[in-house]
Amino acid sequence: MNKKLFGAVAVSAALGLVAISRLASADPLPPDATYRPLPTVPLDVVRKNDEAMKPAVLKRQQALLNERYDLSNRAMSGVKMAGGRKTVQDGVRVKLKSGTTWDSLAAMSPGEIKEKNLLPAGFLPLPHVKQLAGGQVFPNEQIEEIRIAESRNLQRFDVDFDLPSHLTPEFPAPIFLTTRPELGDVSGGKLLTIRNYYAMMVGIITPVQMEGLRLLLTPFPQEEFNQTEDRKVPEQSLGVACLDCHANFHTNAAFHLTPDVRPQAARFRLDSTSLRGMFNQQIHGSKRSLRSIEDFTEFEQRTAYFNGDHVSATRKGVHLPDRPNQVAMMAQMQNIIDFPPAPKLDAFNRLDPSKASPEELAGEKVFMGKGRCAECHIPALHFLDNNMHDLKLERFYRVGQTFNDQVAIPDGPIKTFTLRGIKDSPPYLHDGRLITLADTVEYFNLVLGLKLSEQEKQSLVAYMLTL
Amino acid sequence: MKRILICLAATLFCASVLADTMGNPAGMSPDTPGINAAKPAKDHSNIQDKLFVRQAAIGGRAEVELGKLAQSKGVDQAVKDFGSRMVADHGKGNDRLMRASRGVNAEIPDGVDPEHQTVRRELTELSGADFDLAYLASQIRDHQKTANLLQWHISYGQNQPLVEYSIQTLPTVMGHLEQAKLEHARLTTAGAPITRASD
Ligand code: HEC
Ligand code: HEC
Repeated sequence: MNKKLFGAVAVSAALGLVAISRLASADPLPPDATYRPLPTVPLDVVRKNDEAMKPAVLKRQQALLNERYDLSNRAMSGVKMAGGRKTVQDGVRVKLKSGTTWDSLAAMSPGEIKEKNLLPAGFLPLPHVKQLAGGQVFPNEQIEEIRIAESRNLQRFDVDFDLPSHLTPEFPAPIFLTTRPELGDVSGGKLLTIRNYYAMMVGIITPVQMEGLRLLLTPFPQEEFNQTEDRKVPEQSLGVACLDCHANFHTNAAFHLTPDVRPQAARFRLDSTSLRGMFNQQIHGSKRSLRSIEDFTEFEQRTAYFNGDHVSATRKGVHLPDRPNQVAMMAQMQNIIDFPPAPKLDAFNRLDPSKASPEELAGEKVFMGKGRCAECHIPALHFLDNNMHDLKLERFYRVGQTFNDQVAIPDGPIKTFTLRGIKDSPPYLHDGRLITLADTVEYFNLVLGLKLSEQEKQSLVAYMLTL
Repeated sequence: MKRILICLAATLFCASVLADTMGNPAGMSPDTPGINAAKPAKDHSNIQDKLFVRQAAIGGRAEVELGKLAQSKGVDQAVKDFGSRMVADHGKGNDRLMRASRGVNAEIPDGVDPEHQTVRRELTELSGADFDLAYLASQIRDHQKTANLLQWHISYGQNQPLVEYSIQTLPTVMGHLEQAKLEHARLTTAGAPITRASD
């Protein structure tokens, strides 16, 4: 910058000359840019329209998914999730733009990839199946189980779940307790519901934990499942339970939209997180950075349930759990959920060389060294650093493009997720935009500019399967 | 639906164009023709569409006015260039907006709105580097506002040609915002990156 100009800027800034009018903006956006609008169309008309549009909505989402990913069922031979009931999916599933290879992309600068529009679309934010309606969407397995067990309807009339079931976590997921490690999986292969939890857990957990569990399984009104005309189920609904998404304290890949962003088109999708090993986390939520499980538990009634809109929540009947009693008990129950066992790891979460294969050990070396993974996923801290990081993916693409009504804006800082038990919780990243662990390796290879070789990439996947 | 598939193949922009059968599920107004038969007219407009046209037209007009001011009063070449880009891009944008909003019947006030009149008056009183910085600062605010306006309209608008307009315009506006932020940073911080936004 030219020195004279700099001088002028410094002087005028000091004198406050460059300040521009302090008046509030004359025409702010209307309230529906932040608040949920009240419905103006009768429910039966809304339903008729939603049902008529549903095939086109689903087809459009399938077109986007097929354009971005190879959704086929290609299981890894011999590798199962922790309960031993579901196989882990193999291979890179994000599709390359034509004329590129993973290596040719890695050799380009972010600016060049952006300029030439070569970023694989599967790396972009993933839209909700119906972005402008948003809200909670449950996988069919959950819907069926709850229908049978509780006669409660989790099936929306406007949308279906959009991923095939071979790409989601094991269901029902196994449950491991920090308090009773010797027992192993205490789920018995069943889904915890309000109808069976007591018989399943009596004698294993404490009274306080039991009461927490009851509350976590009790349905409460929610934005799409409630008793008002603003809902997405035909009958007035009792609502949704915490463990409808965090099924068996893991995740069933149910998704919704972030409560933390407005307007609607810019909200990103949120893939339900696992609650395993949460006792180790210092920050909760991909954006909110809440500092305790108690806080998150209390606030999830405002967020997962009502999109961060307490005004709408009040109208539909929000459940505000009593902090010293109910919240504490719900938190205590969540705090005893352990990661699945990882027999090859030692007390520092490092591989035991006498148990790990050469490829797994090679992967750990990449993880600790050239891949720089351990700078954020610190093994001794259960692969967390209790921080949020901005990976700045927007260096690689033009922001502001709209895909199926979702505007792609930069992700900004997102908390580091744990990698313990990672093979159990596809899809990956906060919005579930990546399908396999091999996809995550390609993602970080590009985003961090690592230039890993094919062998290094494969060893990283082999290593992550041991965690 | 056919149209989406063609779009998917053809360009990035319209990968997101609404299916033929869809009005906006979130903002469909009760007086939409065909709504009771579950065949909402896609070219019907709602209140949000009308408000959007009004606000976008006001904003676009101001960008052109202020851009002309920057072309003549700016000192830094990049600021002058930015002004020229505003005159060109928003000039074209305003024409496209008028075409896209033909069926919407929105009321658009004449002349520059009071808020931008104030900004223009304040800018006119400044000169040299002060002008450059104040102009860029006002452009950052205006483009933040326009980007939000477009995102809001994509969220709640119902008129298909108009929503397509918003979808196509947003990346450009966000590109302007990025450039205004970069130029402002370049003129105010020693550590700002030298590279320019690519658009
Ligand atoms: C729509 C499904 C859904 C429901 C229902 C739900 N959650 Fe969540 N939960 C999520 C998602 C998605 C996240 C990740 C949020 C984020 O990243 O901002 C999450 C995050 C959490 C976290 C923080 C986890 C972490 O890793 O930081 C806790 C704790 C939690 N939920 C508890 C609850 C409780 C308690 C309830 C019931 C009151 C509940 N959830 C209901 C989907 C759900
Ligand atoms: C700069 C810090 C950082 C580094 C270095 C890093 N990660 Fe991550 N990792 C993150 C963040 C932040 C997320 C969450 C990102 C998101 O959801 O958008 C994440 C998410 C992941 C996930 C998905 C977790 C889940 O539950 O969905 C995997 C797998 C992963 N990282 C693997 C790796 C590997 C392998 C490496 C090294 C090649 C690596 N990471 C390097 C910060 C980092």
